[in-house]
Amino acid sequence: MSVEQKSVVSDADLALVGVETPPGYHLVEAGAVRRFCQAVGLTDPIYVDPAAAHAAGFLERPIPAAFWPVIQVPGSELRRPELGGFGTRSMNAGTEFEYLKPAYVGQTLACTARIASITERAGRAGHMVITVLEYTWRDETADVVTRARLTGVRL
Amino acid sequence: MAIPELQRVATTRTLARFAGAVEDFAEIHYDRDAAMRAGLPDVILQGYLKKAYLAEAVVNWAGSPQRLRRLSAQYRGVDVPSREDAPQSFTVRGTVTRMWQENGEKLVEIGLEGTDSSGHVTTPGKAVVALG
Repeated sequence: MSVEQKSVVSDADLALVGVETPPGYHLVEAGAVRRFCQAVGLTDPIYVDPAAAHAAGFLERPIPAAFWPVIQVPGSELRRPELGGFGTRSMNAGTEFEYLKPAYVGQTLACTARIASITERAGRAGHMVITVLEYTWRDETADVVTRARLTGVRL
Repeated sequence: MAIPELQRVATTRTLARFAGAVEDFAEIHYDRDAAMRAGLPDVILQGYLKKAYLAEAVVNWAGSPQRLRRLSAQYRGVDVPSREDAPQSFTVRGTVTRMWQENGEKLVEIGLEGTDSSGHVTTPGKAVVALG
């Protein structure tokens, strides 16, 4: 007879879902973008040279598509579910980014974070808790420019 | 239809540089002892580093970073850095899997595969690109 794992997600954990942090503000610095490009081997000059960006038809140097983790810092720590101390391992299972509006080097963007969902599942490796965190970046006019969903697995 | 393949060789220097660039100093990406204590074979490539390679392959094909509408990656397997005595590379392959119209935009979906040197797909992903 199999023993079903009792839920480890408490009401207090579930109450954290949807609560958005205050915004953290980030000036997208040219030096930070240059260091990022060097680290990942991105050699297209549009990201670092304003003249090259203008010549290619951009208003300014665009932000590299994978740069967002550099400014993935909300205004205060996101409260994580305690899960009753469950699990010994945490894994970053995947990320999904949506690009909704162009953003450029030199802009100041606001980053907020919230827990989008907490679900439990019985997997091959046993009971697991899947937490999806959502980060949202808004520009100076409060338009959402980019949204990220990060899936974390606790088991 | 396939997009051009992208191959990258990440060394421990690459991992250290990336850790500094994104200010994420999780030891499993630069301290071999810490990585092995965590049950890993060596330090491992950051998920976001691999995602940057996926993004580059798609943007190279799309012609502009502003054509990218969505990009997802799943970290299913670990990748270790290339060392002199054990060369490694990370290769991104992609295939157009769907085309459709939405809000007056022509969109294509690209199925992505980030693979290690032995051909094992460690980092599958998906991108949506708007055609001009």
